[in-house]
Amino acid sequence: MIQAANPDVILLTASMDENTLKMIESLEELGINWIGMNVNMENDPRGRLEWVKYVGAILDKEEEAEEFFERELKKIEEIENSTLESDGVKPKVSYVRITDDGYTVKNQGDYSVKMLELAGGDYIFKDLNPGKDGTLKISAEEFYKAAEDADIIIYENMGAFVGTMEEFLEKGDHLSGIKAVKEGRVWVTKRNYWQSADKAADMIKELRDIFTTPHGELEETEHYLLAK
Amino acid sequence: MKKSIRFKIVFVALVVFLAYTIMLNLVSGSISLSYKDIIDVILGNRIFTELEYNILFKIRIPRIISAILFGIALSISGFLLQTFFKNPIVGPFVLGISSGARLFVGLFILSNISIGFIESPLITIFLAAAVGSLLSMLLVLLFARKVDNISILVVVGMMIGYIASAGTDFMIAFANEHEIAALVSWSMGSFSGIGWNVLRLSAVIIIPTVVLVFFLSKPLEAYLLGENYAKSMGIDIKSFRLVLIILSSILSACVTAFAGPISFVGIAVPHIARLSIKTSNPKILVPALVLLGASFCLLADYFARTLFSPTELSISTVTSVMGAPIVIWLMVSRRKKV
Repeated sequence: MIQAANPDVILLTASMDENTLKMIESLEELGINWIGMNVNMENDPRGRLEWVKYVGAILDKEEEAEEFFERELKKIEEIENSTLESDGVKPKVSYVRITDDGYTVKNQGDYSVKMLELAGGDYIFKDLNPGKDGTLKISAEEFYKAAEDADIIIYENMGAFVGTMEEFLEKGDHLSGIKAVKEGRVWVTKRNYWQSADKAADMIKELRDIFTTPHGELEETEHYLLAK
Repeated sequence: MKKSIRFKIVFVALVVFLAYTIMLNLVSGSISLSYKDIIDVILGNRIFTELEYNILFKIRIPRIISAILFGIALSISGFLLQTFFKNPIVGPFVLGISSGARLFVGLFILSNISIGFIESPLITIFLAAAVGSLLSMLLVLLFARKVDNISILVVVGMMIGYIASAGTDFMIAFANEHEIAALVSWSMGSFSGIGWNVLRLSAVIIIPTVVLVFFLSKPLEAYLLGENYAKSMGIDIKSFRLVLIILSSILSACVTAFAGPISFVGIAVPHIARLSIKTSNPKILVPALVLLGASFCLLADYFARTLFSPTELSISTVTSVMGAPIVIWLMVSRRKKV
């Protein structure tokens, strides 16, 4: 299928695992050009964003890419400054994705935790694998113990879409005991949430709005939805 | 030692072991809760904090009950298959029955098919697993009619398992990443996140089926003594074999539907039970399987939860490590006997 599409070059986002090496071997056998693009290994949203310059260089659109990057970076700086100037109490926030075999939460070093912190949130699993990116699957108990007094839960949708509080609670009876659930502050990610490295600034701004807007006044942003 | 005394000793030991594994799972986990804390609450000397209450009653106890129910179901299912094939190295996982159930559950998860007159997705998923189990079993039986050698039959079962897995992989190739994530997490097998609604339905399926198996002890014993003997006792062999298969498939399908495929319990537990109690008499063996199956899964779940805490292992990882050596030993010792 890739060969039929006859691409000039493939931007390969992957790590150096066995599958990737096999894929590279196949691409080379087929004579398809590829260039590595390890955006997934960045642990800061600004680092992810910067890859636009790399793509710009490949597509001979360096100026546009540079302009885009600087504009987005400025937006993030503005949010960061407003967060730093704010003297309010930081809301305790958790990312989570619940599947049949456990609770997937972000390691402390993941880029999305950095986004949350730039937006003024206090990540409840900040002691979890410090400096390491990616996710960790933990038990229901571990999650409940840490999230019991979380102010806001961000449910990362993958699999059957969870859009309402009822659907969220179907994931486990015990979840009703969490403060964010009792106060109706569970947000779910929309379908356009994943693979939006270029939207980092907008997403951080949305998180900032979620954290600072009085409860009940904001129900939806471009990437997040309040579970009701 | 007299048989009756040995039975009593073994049963007391099994009851004590079950009580121990229940208590172990009750007190172990992210928050410290000692035996003394629980006894104090029972005696009214203190009350649970909200955190303790929620973790105990909404996470640990449902999980303990699911390990008990599914451990019993897998053990009895394995025992029925071993009785049917008159061989202790068969089980739902080995014969590809669990893979058949996985294929059909995968089909329902990935295609969002619903059965018109059934509103509950839980019942739908159980029926999907049951149909998958029965179809795989029927395939094994078709080959069993032509093949006498149990080793070849086991290989046939494994091949059916591979075909079913290939079918699941085929569907995955055309599914989107969200659907794949749902199927993969279910396929790992876990007692995590099983709610009271699933437990109620599982209990309604498993308990009457196990009771029925117990009441079939007499014909089961006759069947174990040989088909001619069973016939002389007035047992319709064809119908009886069909009943064995249906009961076994219902039990393994229930586990596969709600906890995912769980390996080796169905083979290992009946064998350990036979070794401990030194009898194949179903009237003695079935209650022993109930106690040991529950304890085996409780212990496996305890290791799954605590060995690498805060992360959690899949239940099949632990049951494989606990059960596979037993199966290897069993196969080697059978070879020696031959």
